[in-house]
Amino acid sequence: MKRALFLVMLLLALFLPLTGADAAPVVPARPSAGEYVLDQAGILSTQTEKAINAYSQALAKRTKAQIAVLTVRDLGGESPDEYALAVLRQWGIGDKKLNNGVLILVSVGDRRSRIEVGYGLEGALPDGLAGRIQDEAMLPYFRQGNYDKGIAQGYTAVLRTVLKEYGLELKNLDVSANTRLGDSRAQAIHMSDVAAFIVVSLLLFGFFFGGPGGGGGGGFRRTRHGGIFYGGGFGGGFGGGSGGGFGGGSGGGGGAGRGW
Amino acid sequence: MKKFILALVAVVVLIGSLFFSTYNGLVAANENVTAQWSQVENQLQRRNDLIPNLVSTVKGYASHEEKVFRDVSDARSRLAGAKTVAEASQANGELGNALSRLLAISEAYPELKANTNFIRLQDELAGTENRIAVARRDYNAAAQQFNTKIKSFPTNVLAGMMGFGSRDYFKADEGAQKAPKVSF
Repeated sequence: MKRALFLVMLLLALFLPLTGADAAPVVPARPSAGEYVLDQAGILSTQTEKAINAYSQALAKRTKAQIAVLTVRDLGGESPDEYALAVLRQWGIGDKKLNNGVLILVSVGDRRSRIEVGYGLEGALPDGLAGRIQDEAMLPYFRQGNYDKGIAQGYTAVLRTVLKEYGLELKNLDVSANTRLGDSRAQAIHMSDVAAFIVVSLLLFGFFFGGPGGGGGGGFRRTRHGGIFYGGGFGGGFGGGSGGGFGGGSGGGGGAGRGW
Repeated sequence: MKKFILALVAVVVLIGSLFFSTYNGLVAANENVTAQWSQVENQLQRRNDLIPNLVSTVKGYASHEEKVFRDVSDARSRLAGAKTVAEASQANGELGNALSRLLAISEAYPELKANTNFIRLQDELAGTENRIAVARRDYNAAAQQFNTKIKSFPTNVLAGMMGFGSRDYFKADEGAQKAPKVSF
């Protein structure tokens, strides 16, 4: 009798329905916990990556909202819309209940970008604004080949918009002061190296051509300006504490895309 | 004999619990299809609300393109009057076509093309079309899951008894697939 029962169960198990999987684009594995950048195209500076991680960590801590950046060499023939949505959903960017995630996707090979917005932030970051951020903050730099700056500027604009939704500003974010100091010191050394190089160059220039060699510094400094990444603190480093990866948020195709 | 009765009881309990869990599974899957459909309807409505704004912006620069405006408004009212999923998907394709013709007008009017309000509306429209596509995919996936369920054994016996019929798919006709390609 036991054998009969076993047979019945086996038969029932055989008839359990098989579910077919949905054919979504294959996307890269999500970055490890506490990291919000995956730079597969290799176009981001360490500083930008560190800053994005630090600010996104601080943002998530404060609001549960999550902003991630993905750069790829190409989309493998997928449309940016479908690719970005698949990444947002499979990574689970944003809180599971609030769905307040944003993905900034840049494909260098396809020359296309997209800001994909989770359900919960569609009001704060409507499609029109997502398009404008790309038009004004990202594409001008992309067209010059300066992806690092374009992404940094675009990220800053998205971050400000999301913060505004929660009644916050950049300065409200708790980006570790120590890390920032350490980074700006590192940067200061780097800057002084560059400055020394310029001074030496100018001196040599003056030596060989007999003219006075001053007055170059101001112009140089102006090229190092910019949003939160290049201005005063170079906020970056590892935020420490709880990271925990993405929250399981989802989206329904909100956002905007651009090509250049 | 005692062993036999025990085994019989076990089988009855097993089948009984299978019955209930299958039934509950069917109800849940059916509800899921309905929920996904309302998501599609939300997005269709969202686009519907967007159209008057878009049309009036284009009219401001190209008032004499009467035919396109009429096509858009006709397709819009057909979609609003759609009663079944099949009607809705048909009307949706037509509206998509009419809207892409409306956007194509902008190519001939550089001032319209550069208008920031128009660019914003284009983004909103493209985003909404994308949302419709996503909602449609999600709905079809839910409908497929449900339909597969009620057609496979042994669930089909129960589904037949309880009167669960298969759900329609929201087909994307060629028009809708090609439709609103918004280029910049």
